[in-house]
Amino acid sequence: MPPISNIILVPLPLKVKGFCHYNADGTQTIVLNSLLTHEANFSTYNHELNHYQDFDCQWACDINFLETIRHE
Amino acid sequence: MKLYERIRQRREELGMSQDEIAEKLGYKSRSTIAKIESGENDITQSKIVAFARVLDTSPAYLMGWAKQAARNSNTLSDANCKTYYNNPETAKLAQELYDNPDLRILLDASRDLAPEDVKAVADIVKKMKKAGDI
Repeated sequence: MPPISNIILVPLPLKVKGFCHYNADGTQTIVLNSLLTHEANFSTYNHELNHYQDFDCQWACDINFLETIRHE
Repeated sequence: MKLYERIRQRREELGMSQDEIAEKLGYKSRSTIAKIESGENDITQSKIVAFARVLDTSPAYLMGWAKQAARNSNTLSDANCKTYYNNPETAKLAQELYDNPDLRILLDASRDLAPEDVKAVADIVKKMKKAGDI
């Protein structure tokens, strides 16, 4: 499993909790919304870890499907 | 048709053996695949994604939400494809961001995310990449 290279806080639109960026070197950067609370960011971090641990980045995915199962 | 029937059908379409599938998915033997294909063993939702990858199809197809089995057929315009994002344009833009090798991000966002917000995120990512932050 490639490492998570960085976790950073950036001001994002309020409806975006965060995102995972798949870097060219195969590592991942988790970006959290600095405008949200610590609790919200902790929840988002766990969400992104689920994507990471299930290799969601490595194949052609249907975003709607992924998010549906991750948010259930 | 049920999930396990679609898995078996797709495997047979590709001419793959249960042994091959088991090996690719990291199972010790084909018996687990046989149990899954017979409906005896259920699989977790995250494993559905893995099965879809190995069977060169979409999770949506295995779930019965999309009609066509070819991997790139899981278009967001498919009426049978269950959606997360309320706005189809938002879903399309989020998919494009994910599929773009230069941006390649997976958003965690509200269902009612607006297309403008996705575009704003794309701009932020481009700036971050330019600055060497990611």
